Amino acid sequence: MLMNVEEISFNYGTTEILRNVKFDLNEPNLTCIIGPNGVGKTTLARCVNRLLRPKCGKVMLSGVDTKDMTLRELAIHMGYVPNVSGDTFPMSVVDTVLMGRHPRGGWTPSDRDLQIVEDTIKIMGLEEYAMRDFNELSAGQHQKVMIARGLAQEPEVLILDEPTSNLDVRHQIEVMELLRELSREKKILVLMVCHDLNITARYADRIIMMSDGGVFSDGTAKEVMTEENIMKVYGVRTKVIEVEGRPHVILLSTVIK
Amino acid sequence: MESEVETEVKPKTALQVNYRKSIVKKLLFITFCLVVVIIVAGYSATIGSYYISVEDVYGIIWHRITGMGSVDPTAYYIVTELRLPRIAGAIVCGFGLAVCGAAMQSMMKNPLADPYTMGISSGAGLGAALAIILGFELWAGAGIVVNAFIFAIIPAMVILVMSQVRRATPTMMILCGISLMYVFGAITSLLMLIATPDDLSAVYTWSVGTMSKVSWDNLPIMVAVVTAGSLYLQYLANQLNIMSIGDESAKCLGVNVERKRLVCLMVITLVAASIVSFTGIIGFVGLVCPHIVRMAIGSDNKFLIPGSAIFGSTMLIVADMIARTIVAPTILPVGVITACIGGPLFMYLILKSKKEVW
Repeated sequence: MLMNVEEISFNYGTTEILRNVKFDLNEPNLTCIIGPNGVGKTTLARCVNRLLRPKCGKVMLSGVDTKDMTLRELAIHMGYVPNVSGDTFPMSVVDTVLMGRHPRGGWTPSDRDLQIVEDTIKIMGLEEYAMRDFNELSAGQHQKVMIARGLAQEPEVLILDEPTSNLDVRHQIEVMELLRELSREKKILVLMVCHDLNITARYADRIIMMSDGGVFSDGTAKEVMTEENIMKVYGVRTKVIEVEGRPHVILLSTVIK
Repeated sequence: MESEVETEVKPKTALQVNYRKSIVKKLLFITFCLVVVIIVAGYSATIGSYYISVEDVYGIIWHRITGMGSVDPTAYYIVTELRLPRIAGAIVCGFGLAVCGAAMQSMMKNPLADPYTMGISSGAGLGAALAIILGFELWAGAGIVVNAFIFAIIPAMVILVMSQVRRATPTMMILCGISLMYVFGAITSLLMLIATPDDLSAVYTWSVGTMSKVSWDNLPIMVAVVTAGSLYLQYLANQLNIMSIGDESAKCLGVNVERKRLVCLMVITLVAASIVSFTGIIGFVGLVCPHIVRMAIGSDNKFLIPGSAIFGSTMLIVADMIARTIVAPTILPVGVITACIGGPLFMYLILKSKKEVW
């Protein structure tokens, strides 16, 4: 699976959010999009999965324009894990994850569907909540259920919008490691919007740093996470040291522009 | 014991077993309600000024269907011509309204939605008032029914047109429905001002809903529309589930939410309008039945829709029975009974239910 994001631009009204964003994902790994608030990270993710229609530009999946696919076809190839999920009518965790099988499934869930649901629930460590109501769980558990649902889709591209924002440190690490592992194991292109610089630097195979509606820097953690880049994009003075071969960002102070 | 399980070729995992088990429980609930409907229907047909025993009632129904056995002609006439249409009407009407309610709540992600949310009832009310008070008939000779039906589907048509300009979000649809409800309500009030006391009373009687106008002539239409609509909504059960978790998630799971919601709205409107135009406005069934059933079997629409359907039938058939008997020989409007009994019952269930249901 190859994904090419070609020159995407997007406006909210007259405000330009994205300008000619262009990147390719051509190997199954964990790619993180970082950047300051309002830079268009989530908008970009939504343009990629067609929740928003870009003003111009297109997204190609293995050479096929996603615009020419039905939503169902797209859902077979591309999963999406939203950042927040509001309360709904009571649904068990199993039923919620089972929804991930909808693009591929029939009217009633097959044993295989249930097997996949069970596997993903196990992977996410949600066994003890399987029959509980989704609404009764904590925000962190909600996020894990959402990730499980995305995985149950068995997509080739998985897009996540800040999947670790409600998780504690341990669960953040678990989820990041898991996503990186799964991307290799199941050959999934994982594209993730992320906020935490250090978590990103530690686990991302590739980082796309955005600034001002465009790609500012694109490469490995070492290439992107530099004091200079962070200064230019976030306006924050930092010291970047190396820990276990990965850059680690120490925050110093903001810079008055 | 455990070694036996392990020796099986492909042992079902705990989750699969639990999942299938929970389905059986849901099916049991639906079956139970179905049995209640059949029993109450039979019992309800015995009630009235002319006494007919339960066995005779089932004998007559059997005779009517198969032509076998012999029956007392008077009892036969009373049961088949006077009581059964009413009972069948209650079953179909409760069935349809509850299905519409369940589907509406899921697709709007709103526990307050019911078949009338889109102004169907006030539209039908205006149509009826126009026919009764002004004698204005969209289809000459057809009387209230066609008027009520056409006016009931106007809100859905307006939303359909508006959706070409603006995205049809649940909020937009509900707000649109509510504003139309006020407009229709205002015009109806205006008409009432100029109405004669007799017409006023007729409009009022129509607006509280009754089963007395249901006959073998109009039942087939109701049955056909309700059956077709319910089957279609049942077919969409998975998509309705997905719609209830939010538009974004739904789209990413391959459901074209906006289009499906409009389609569902049309189907619900047709079903509800076809009921309302024959029976008048029977409230509460469509709103409350899905909630009660949700408490019992959860909110998976695959079971919620049939469950609500059967439960709606039960509720309305019981309400109609009470309406006929409580101050006999006067027959009360069934809508009054559903609200008077359903309201407190529902509040009791809310207090008693252990789980947060919505």
